[in-house]
Amino acid sequence: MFNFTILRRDPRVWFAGGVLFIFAAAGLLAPWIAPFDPAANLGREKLSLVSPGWEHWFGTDLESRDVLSRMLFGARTSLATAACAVGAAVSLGTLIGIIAGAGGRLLDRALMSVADLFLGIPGIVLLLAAGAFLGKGQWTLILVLSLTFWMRSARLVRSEVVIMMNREFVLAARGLGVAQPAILWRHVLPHVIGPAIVSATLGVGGVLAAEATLSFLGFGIPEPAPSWGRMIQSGMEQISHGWWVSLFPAAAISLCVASANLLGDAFNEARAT
Amino acid sequence: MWAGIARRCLVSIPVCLAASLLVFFLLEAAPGEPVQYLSDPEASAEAAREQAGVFGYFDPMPVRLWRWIENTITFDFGRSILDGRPVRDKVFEALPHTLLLSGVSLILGFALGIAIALISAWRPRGALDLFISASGVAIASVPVFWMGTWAVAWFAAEWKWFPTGGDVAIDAMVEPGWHAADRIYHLILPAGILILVTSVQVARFTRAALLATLREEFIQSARARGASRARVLLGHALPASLHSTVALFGLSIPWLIGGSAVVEYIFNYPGTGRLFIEAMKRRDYPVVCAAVIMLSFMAVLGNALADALAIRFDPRAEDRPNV
Repeated sequence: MFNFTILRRDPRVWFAGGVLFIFAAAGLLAPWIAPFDPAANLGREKLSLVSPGWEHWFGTDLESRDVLSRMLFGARTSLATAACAVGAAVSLGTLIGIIAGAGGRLLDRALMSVADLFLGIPGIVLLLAAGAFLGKGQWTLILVLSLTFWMRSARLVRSEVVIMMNREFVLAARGLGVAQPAILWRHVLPHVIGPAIVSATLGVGGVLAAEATLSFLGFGIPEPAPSWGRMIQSGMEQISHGWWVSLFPAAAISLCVASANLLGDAFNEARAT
Repeated sequence: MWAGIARRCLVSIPVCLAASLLVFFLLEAAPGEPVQYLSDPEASAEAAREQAGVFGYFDPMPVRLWRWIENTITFDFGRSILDGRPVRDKVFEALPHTLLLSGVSLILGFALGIAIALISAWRPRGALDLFISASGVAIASVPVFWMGTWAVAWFAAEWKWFPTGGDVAIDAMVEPGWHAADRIYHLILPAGILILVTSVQVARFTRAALLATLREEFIQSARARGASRARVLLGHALPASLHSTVALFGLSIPWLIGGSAVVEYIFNYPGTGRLFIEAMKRRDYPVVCAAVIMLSFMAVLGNALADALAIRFDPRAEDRPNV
């Protein structure tokens, strides 16, 4: 699947994997490590827009809420949404890719034209239109995100399946009379897990950025769940006298996107063919 | 070659229709009664239903589908709910702005990206190359809307180097010479962001293609004949690598149109993208439909043009299936 010796020696894997691991751990442990209640207005008027310091490491927002605590819980929302969306998108893409690659010429043409159609429409337009017509909510968002991110994995998997279907071991299995579903499951699927993982890691970055953009435009995960995109959006209005409210969540998103992309690149280069 | 180009352009017609069908079925799948968006919010439920009947809301699905296709072809989506103006006028007014913004960003972004890739490939794995690659990863990971808002906050609001938004100042409209200059002045920030983001992608792709070409034998033979480093890079490696950059052209058009929608919205730039987002926010559905279809058409046609360009650059692209 991958050349693990190359992966182990790649500094990008250690850096990016470490960053993603830390963020995921922070999200999982948020209820125990967050210093304050993320939703609670800390009361006193004077705690609104406190700049970063000992008490509040990342400051507080306009509604006197601790930015660090909100970010920890936001990691939960944002990363969970991204993971679900990417999981759904890559599963769908892999399924479509296998059907297209093994299902004959006509099916291949039809499915890949649909993928091209989705690829041809600007992603944000598709996302916003689908989101608007299907309504708001975290599950809708996951559905919509996965509907706009399946195409690349479908293409990658399909091209891999087409190669595999003509390899000797598949021809041999067919000659021995193994049924098509069994061939796909036992002999083809293990070989497409590599490209699927690559497109999943690269997809995490795209989905995180898309979720943030949607939240910024006001179509993301609804309050009160703190998501990074929503935090940036609410901090944008106080950008000149409260830069920390939006800077820290934006930095978190950028760091995660960069890590996911680096990891995806490293996996891609270490793919053993 | 011309046959290949013509075929690519013809193929984009059904793709446009399919994009419009996608919008239709999204509308069909929408929960709730679209009736409530189609009429005066203060009207009684009965009046709303009557109004919906006039619009043909209760017609059977195939009839509505046919009418939708008709509307798409004639590009007639009725009137905006907000100001009652024909949707077609609003979209076509906004179109040139978007074409200007994304066209400028596409061309300058590609030019800058190729230049950066050449600098990177001058000494591969050298300090400059590593620096450029690292900054590329960093820039590509920052959300576009975030860059846009910070640019407005600092360059425009705080330091007042550039206008905060719009396409031209009112007092510049009367003087013809100043008019053009003021338009460019308003374009610098939004286009600058799109150029930056595009050039990063282009540089990454072109650098990889250049490095692959530099390993080939004809490069070695050119070096052996005593060609200078600049001559090898510009005269031999670049022409042989450009076809992959041109292939990126088509892929980046839908992406750029999406990005420019966000940038238009932030900079209050009166293009199709902002029209679309504003209409979404205010639930002006006739405008949303028209804008979605227009943005998709632009992406599809841009793709077809880029494919044609790719064939011009690399005849092998003609036999390749899409992408």
